[in-house]
Amino acid sequence: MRKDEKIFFLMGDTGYNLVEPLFEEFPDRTLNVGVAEQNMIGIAAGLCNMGFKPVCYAISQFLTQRSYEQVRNDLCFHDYPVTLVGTSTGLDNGPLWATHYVVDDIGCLKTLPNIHIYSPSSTESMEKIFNETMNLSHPSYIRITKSSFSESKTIEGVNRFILENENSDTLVISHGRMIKNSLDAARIFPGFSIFAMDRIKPVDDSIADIIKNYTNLVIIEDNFKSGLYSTICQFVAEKKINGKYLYSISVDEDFGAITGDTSFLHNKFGLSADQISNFIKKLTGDASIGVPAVIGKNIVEKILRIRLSQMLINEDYKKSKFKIPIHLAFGHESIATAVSQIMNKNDKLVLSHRNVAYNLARLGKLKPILDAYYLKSSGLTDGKTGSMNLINREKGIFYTSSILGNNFSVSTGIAMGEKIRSQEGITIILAGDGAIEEGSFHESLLLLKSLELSALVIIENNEWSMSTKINERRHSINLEKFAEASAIKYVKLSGNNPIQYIEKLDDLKQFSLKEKTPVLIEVMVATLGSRILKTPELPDGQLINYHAGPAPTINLEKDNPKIIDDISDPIFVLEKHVGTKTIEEITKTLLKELNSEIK
Amino acid sequence: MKYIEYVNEQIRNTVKDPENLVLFGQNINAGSRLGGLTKGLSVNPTSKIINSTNSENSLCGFGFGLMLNGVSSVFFMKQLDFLLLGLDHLVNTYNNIRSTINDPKSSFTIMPIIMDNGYQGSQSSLNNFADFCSIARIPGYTISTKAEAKKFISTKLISPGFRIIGVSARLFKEEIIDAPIIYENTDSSLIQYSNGMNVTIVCFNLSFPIGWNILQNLKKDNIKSSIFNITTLTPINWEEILENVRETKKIIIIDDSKSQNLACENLISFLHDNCDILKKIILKRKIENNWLYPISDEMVVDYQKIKDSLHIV
Repeated sequence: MRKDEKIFFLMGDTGYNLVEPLFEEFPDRTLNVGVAEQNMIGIAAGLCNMGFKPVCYAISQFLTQRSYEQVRNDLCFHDYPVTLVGTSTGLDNGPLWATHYVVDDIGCLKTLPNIHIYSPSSTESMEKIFNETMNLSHPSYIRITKSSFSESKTIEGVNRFILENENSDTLVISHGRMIKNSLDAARIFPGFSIFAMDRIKPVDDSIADIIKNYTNLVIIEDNFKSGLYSTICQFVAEKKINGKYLYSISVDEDFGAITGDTSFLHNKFGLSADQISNFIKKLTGDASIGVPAVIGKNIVEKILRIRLSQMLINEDYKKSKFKIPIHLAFGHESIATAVSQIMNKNDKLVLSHRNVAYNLARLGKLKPILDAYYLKSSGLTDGKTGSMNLINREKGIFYTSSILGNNFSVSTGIAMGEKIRSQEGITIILAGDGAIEEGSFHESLLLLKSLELSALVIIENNEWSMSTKINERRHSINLEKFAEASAIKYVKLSGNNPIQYIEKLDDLKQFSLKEKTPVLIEVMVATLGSRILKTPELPDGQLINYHAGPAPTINLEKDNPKIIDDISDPIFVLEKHVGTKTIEEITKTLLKELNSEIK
Repeated sequence: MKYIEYVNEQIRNTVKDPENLVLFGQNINAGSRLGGLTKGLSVNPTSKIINSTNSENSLCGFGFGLMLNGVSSVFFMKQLDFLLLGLDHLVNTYNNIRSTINDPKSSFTIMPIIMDNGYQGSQSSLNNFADFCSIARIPGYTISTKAEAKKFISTKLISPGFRIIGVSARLFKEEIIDAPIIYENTDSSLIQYSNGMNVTIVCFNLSFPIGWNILQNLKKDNIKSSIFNITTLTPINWEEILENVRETKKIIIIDDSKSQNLACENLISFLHDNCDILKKIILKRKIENNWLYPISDEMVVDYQKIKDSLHIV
């Protein structure tokens, strides 16, 4: 105001203990209009007509939403260069509940022509933005938060890199207060870059050159998706930038029944540094917890890789190329990927004879497994274990067993070993529903519970045992009641959404480690590859579920490896999330890689 | 000193110091402590004694799981009969582990009490120790003497790998045989306690006290005997016995197992093919019609008949 005598400061009865020096120094160019924000916009428009550059300062939801009509008709229509400075944005006023959340201001204002929208992320950014608005010939809105974050350096532009990680394919794009949270997240997991887009409107076309270097774009804001996220989506679509995965970490579009302070609300909406880092870990293939259910490219690739690897094995199998029996696991790819994702280096995995999906998930390669099936010394375990006992202790697969129920008890010992050696790993046991008929299932759960051992006991329920349906051979077993009898937590998983599986399994893992107790998890799977069996005894044929051997009904001849059109096929679930085209594109790339690998 | 007291003393000495050791089994630290076998156990603070559930099958798998995770353990078992419940692990789990680990760093030992004291009834009188070892070529050792107790417990109870060490319930209250070893092969599966020129005595399973008694009686009649105890079913090089029999030309073979597949048959077959024997006395159990009922489990030996059969003047 000292430099530019046209600047006129208006305020809506707020900002006490802050603005008084302005009023003392510039009594002729300051005005408190009272609790009358709509009137303040009108006054600002009038001052503009008189050649001033008005700055309107007020609590943001009153400045932008209560005064929406005036902002639209008095400022934007006339393209008056009035600067609106809104305070307490995002979730700053959380304790005052949803009426005082400012999470829809960007979405409201950006539909208006002419207005520029800013969200300064640091004190340095604030200064730069204010100077920019003072030289604008358009209306502008500066969205400020209760933050004193300083970058402690001179910044080059309003939109700029905060952190650049050349080895990452994940870019966080954020603004305002969330830049600080993103930086804190990078200190926890430094696997991404951060770009501050403090000028939200108009969109800077040059960001296209930045975006093109990354696959995953994670837009983080203390705003509804209608803020920067929809802006970036629109930009990517209009510019026809292909091959990008966009994710939003933002405030749920639900005013909610509970409220709390800003920190509480950040946690509620996944905006804390921990949650941001976990979200990105998940995208990049590391374990994570408590984040919204999006399926990242990495996960899609992992699941498809397991499916395609099995299909390639099956093709050889159909040609009778193997001497050993193999139990394929079409339909188990989602749970296998989820289990693999939650494993840390100390965790121990104990499997059954149907272990191929887990071995593929842990190893991420086909050739060593294929070679093992061919009994070659270049294979896993030097080709000495066959398929049903295939292990990979370097990758945490400690033991596999072809004897139903046998692995339960071995896993109790492994879990006890973790406890005795004060290691922090968890033991994860996989078995089929047939194995729960064995006495060792009960004995081992009892041991795990009695000895206070941390373990996830996962029962893959495909409702078949070899060629017999459960209800054809036994009374049903209520696993929840069974677990309850030994005071063991029980959880059922279904639907094949890998992210939901990862989130749930990781929660249960933390619970088990903290409470020193086993958890029983029943996951519904369909072992795909069923066929109609005709024999002299069954001249009309009977549906037989796939158990072992080649799956003659499954063929690798399409662009899309989906086997059936329902959620029992994990590829169907992926397709619903990322689209058929993406599935087909990734399939094409992966097949090329896999064929090259096993050549 | 009584057999059980000495065995227990050796166990206590062996388990007290090692770190991260797990001792487990039903009531091993309560009540009679398996008739005194596990009495007074104390372990390093990092180790653990578990009075376990009654889950023999799973407890066998438990021990193998501990072994896989680098923790040594001993499963003390009240009766050898109960180990039948764990056969899956003795065969399948053990095969799996040794096919993937060439050089184990930790140990798992099952130490069952072989119920050979009689009157236990049809379900608690299994003494076929060698059958358990044979089924998957498992290293197994029986303890009959003080020297064997010391050797097997101090060197094998907590030694990398898996094995079974059996103790005889019949001998618990008996004075332990204190005979010096004069020869043993490299893995102590064949142990010689006496070297005499008149007859060779070879004992299998838990029959050593019977053979030792025969030796003592023959000695009174000035007949000098060599006596060997076969403590395990590990494939044995019989050359030492062959050498001895070539001198004595006479052999007494004793096997008190109730199995149809006796371990001693292997030696009998070998000797038949490799040397001329003037007299061969095979002492095996005579299975009567009442063998499934609660009866005495003692193998009755007619010493005079043996002496007369030897035709040694």
